[in-house]
Amino acid sequence: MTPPLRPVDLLVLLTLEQGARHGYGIRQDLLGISDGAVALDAGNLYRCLNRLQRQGLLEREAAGNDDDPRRRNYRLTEHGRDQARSELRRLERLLANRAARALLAEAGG
Amino acid sequence: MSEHPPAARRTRRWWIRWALAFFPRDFRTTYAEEIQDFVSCRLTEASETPAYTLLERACRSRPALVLRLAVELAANGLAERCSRLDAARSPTDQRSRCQSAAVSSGQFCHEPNAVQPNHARLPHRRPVMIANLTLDLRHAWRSLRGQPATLAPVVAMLALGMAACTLFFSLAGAVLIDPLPFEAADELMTVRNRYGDDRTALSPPDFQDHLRASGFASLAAWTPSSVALETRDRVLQIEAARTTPGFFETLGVAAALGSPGWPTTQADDQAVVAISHDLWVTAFGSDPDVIGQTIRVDRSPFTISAVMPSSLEFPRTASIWLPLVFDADQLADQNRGNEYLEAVARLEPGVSFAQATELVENTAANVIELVPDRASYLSDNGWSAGITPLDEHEFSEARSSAWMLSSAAALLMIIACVNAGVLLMVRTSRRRSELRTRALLGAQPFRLATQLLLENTLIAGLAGVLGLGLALALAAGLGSALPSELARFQRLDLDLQALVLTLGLVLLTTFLFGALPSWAGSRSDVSSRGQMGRRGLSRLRRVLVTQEIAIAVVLLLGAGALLQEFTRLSSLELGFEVRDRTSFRVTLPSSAYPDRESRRAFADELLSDVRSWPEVRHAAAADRLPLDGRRWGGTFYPEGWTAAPGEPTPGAEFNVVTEDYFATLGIQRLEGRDLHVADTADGPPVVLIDRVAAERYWPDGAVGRRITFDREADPVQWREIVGVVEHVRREELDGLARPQVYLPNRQGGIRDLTVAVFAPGSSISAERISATLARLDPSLPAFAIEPLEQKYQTAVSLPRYRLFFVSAFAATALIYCLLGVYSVLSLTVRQRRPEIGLRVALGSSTRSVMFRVLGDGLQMTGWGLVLGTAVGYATLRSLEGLRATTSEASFWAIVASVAGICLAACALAAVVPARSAASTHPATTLRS
Repeated sequence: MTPPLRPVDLLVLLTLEQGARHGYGIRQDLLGISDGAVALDAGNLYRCLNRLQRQGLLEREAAGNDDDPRRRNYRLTEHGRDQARSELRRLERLLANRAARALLAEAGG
Repeated sequence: MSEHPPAARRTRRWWIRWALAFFPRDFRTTYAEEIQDFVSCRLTEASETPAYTLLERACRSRPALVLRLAVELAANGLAERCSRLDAARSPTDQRSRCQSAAVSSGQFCHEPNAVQPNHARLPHRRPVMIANLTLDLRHAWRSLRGQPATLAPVVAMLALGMAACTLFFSLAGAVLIDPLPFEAADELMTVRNRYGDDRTALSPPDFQDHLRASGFASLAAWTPSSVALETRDRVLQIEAARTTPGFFETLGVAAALGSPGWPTTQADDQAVVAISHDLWVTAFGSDPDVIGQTIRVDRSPFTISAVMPSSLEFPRTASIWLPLVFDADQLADQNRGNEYLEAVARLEPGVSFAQATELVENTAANVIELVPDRASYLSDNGWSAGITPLDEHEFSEARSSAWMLSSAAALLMIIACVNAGVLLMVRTSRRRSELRTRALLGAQPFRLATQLLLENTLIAGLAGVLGLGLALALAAGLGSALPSELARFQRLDLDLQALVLTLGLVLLTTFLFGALPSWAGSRSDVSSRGQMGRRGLSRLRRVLVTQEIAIAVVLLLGAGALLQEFTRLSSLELGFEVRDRTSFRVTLPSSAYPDRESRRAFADELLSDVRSWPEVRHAAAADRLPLDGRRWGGTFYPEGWTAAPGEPTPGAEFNVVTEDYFATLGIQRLEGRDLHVADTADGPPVVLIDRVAAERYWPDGAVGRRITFDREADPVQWREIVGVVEHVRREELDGLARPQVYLPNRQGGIRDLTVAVFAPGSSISAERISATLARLDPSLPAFAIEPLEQKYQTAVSLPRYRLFFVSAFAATALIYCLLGVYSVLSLTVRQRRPEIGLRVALGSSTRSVMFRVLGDGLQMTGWGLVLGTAVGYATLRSLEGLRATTSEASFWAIVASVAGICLAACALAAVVPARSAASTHPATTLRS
C-alpha cells in the first residue's frame, strides 16, 4: 500500500500534468493554481521534488536544450500519473459524500 | 540575471552555497546549480514586482531576499538531514533510538512523532526536528539557568563591553569620518593669520589680499555676531554670521528655498538675509511663502532671500546669515590690526595643500612690506598666514577625544571578550566529562554540536540584547550630556556597522571559547580521561589573563594621566571668582543707540537697576567676560617707546569695563586705584593693566605711566595707567598668558554688553533679568543668561568627560581582571587538589601551599604589569596632548600607583582560591 499523497505533492504532480517543467516554472504554476497561497522557495521545493523522485512519481530529465544549461526539467512518470489520479479519485469520493456536500452547501448558503 | 554587477552575484552565490552546506552532500551536489538558477529567477521576479511601501521595498530588496532564501535553504537543509537521520535508524530499533535521544536531549523519548507501529507510512520528519530543536533549546536554557554564577558575569561583561564599544565607535564614526556635510569637504580650508604657532583671524585687508591672490577656487569670510530678530510676538536674540559674497558657494551649499543673492558691492541692496532651516520652522512655521517677506533684524528691515537646508550648521550656532561688504576704510592698511574675520576657502582642483600653504605665506609676506610701522612687530612675532583643513580646524579637539574614548572602549571590549572566554573555558572544562559521557552513550555528534551551538548562541544573544539595550539607554542619556566640543553629534545615533562588529565579536568569543573547546572535548579520546590538552589549556588561560591584566594596566595608566591633567587644569589659578556670579548679554542695536552717550546711559541705568536688588553686592558690565571665547586685541605704544629692531611693538588684549568690574569678578587689585564713576569722557583718559602687562612692559612700576593706541593722531591721546590688577585666564584655561588692558566704559561706550552680577548665596532668575530689561527697553532681549560657575564647568567639561569614561573603563577592566585571576586560580586549585593533598600529606605546611597559589596569581599580575607598562609608556608618549603635561617623573609615579592597585587587587582575587587550597585535607583527596 502506498501512503496518501501530501497536498503539496499532489499540487506539484498536477502542475506537471501538461508536460515537463523546471523548478522555477513549477513554483510559478503552483502560485497560479493556488491563487498565490502555495509559494515554495528553493529549499522546500527541491526537497519535495527529491522526495517525489525517490518515490518514483517523477523523473528528472538530463540537461535540456533550454537556454540555461543549469536547468533540469521534471516529468511525471506513469506511476506518478496513477498516484495523482487515485488521490484525486479519493478526493472526488470525499466530495460525493453526503456529509461533505451538506457542509459545502452550508458554507455556500 | 546579468543586469546586476558580478560582485553582487558573487556575494549572492556565496550566500546560497553557504546555505546549501546544510544539506546532505548528495542532495547538494545534485541540486546546487539548479538552486542557484532558481534563486536568480526569484531575484529577477522580485525586481520586476512593484513595491509600494517602504516596508515592501525593504523586504523585496535584493539583500533581504537573498538572506531570506538562504535562511529558508539552511533550515530545509537541517530538516533534510534530520529526516534522513530518523529514516536511517531502523524504525523497529526502538531501544537504541530512545537511548541516544535521551542522552543527547536529556529526556526520554517523548517525541510526538516517535514511530507509530500501526501506521505503515513514514511519519512527517519536520516535527521531529522542530521537537528536537525545542528540546535542545530548553535544555540549553536549563543548563544556562543552572549556573547563574558562571554565566551572569559572562553575559554582563560581554554586554557592557558591547555597549561601550558600540556607543563610542558610533561617536568616533560621526567625528572621524566625514563630519562636515559639505560636498568635497576635504577641499575646504580655513585661512588664518599666524603669530608663530599661535593662530588668529584675518583682518579685512588681509582677506582682500588673499582674495586677490586667487590661489583658491573660491574664498569667503565670515564673522560671528548676535542679532535681535523681531517676530510677531517677541524679540529673539539669535546667533548670526555676517558673510562675504561667495560664502555659500564656497561651502557648496545651495539654498533649500530661494537663493541668497548676496550683494557684492557697497551700492547693492544689503538688506537681505538667509535664515536657517531651524529658524524657518520655529519662527516662521515652515511658511513656504517666506521668501520676500520683510523681517526686522536689529530694528532694521531685511528681506528674506533664502532658507538654507537643515544640513548647514556653519558656523555651528548660526541661525541667520547676513551679508558682509567692506567699505574703503575697512580695507585700508591701517585696519590690518583688526583681525576678526574667519575665512574659508576651497582649493583649486589639482592644487595641493603644500602649494596652497606656500601661496598664502607669500601673500602674507607681501603684506609686511605694506605696513612699515608694524613690519618689525609682525616679522618679530613670526607673523604669517596658514591654512588648515576645515574639518581639522573644527573638530581637532573632538577627534582626539573620540580616538581616545573609542580606543579605551575597544580595549575594554577586548578584555571583556578575553575574560568571558576564560570563564567559558573554565565552564567547558567542568562540562567535558558530561559531554564525553553523553557521546559514549551514543549521542549523535550532530545533536551535541547543535546543542553546544545553541547554548553559546543563547549566551551571545542574551549579551547582545542586553548590550544593545544598554547602548541605547546610554546613547539617550549621553546625548544631552556631551561636552560642547562634541555637541554637533548630539543626535548620537548608534552606528549599525559598529553594532554588527561588536555583536560579531561577542558571537565569535562565545563560539571560540565556549562551543569549540567543548566540542573538541566531547570528541577527544575516551581513554585519556580528560588529561589530554589540560596543560596546554591551562597555559592558554594564564596567557589570556596576563594579557587582560596588561590591557587593564594600559587603561589604568591612561586614566592616571588624564586624572593628572584634569587636576592640573582644575587647580589653575583663574584669577577671578566664579561662585555666585551670573552673567547675561544685551546687544544694543546701533539704530536705537547710535552714539556712545546713549549706550553709556543705558549701561548706567541697567546697572543701577540691577544693583538695587537687595541680594546683589556688585554688578558691572564689560564687552566680554573671561571664558566666553571672544577675543579682541591689538597693539599700543607706551610713552617714549621707540621701535627698535628685534623688539616687538607692545600688544595686549583690550577689555572695556565699567567701574566695579574687578570687585564683581573678584579680581585682585595689586597696585594703584580702581576705575570710578568720575572716569568719564570729560575727565583725563585712564587705563588699568594686568600683572602680565606690567611685568612685561614696565618692570619698574607701571602706575603713572602713559600709553596711546594711535601715535599718528593729532593730538595724541595719552591714557594714564592708574592701576594694576591680577591676571585672569581668558579663553582657553590652558592658553598663553596674554597681557590685558582695561579701558573704562564711561570713556568708551560699548554696544555689546555682558553684565556680571555678584549675589552671594543666592541665584538670579532669568525672569527677573528679562523683566528689568523690559522696563528699560521692551525690544531688547537678554540672552546667554548663565552662572559663571556653569561657564567654567563647560570649559573643563571635555577633559572631565574623557577622564570620567576612561576611568570608568579602567575600573571595569580591573574588576574583570579580578574575576579572571580568581577563576583561573580556582580552576587550577580544583584540578590540582589531589597533588596538593599529596603535598600536604608529605608535610607541606598550609602556609607554603597558600603562598604557592598566591605566587601563581602574582606571577600573572607581574607579567601583565610589565607588558602593560611597556605598551602604556609607548602609547602615552605618543599622545600629543598628554606628552606636554605628563612629565617622565609623573609617569613613573602613575606606574607605581597603578602597580600598587593591580597587585593589591590580584592578591585579593587570589586569596580565596589560596585559602581553599590551604584547607585541603590530605585524607579526603587521597581517598577520592
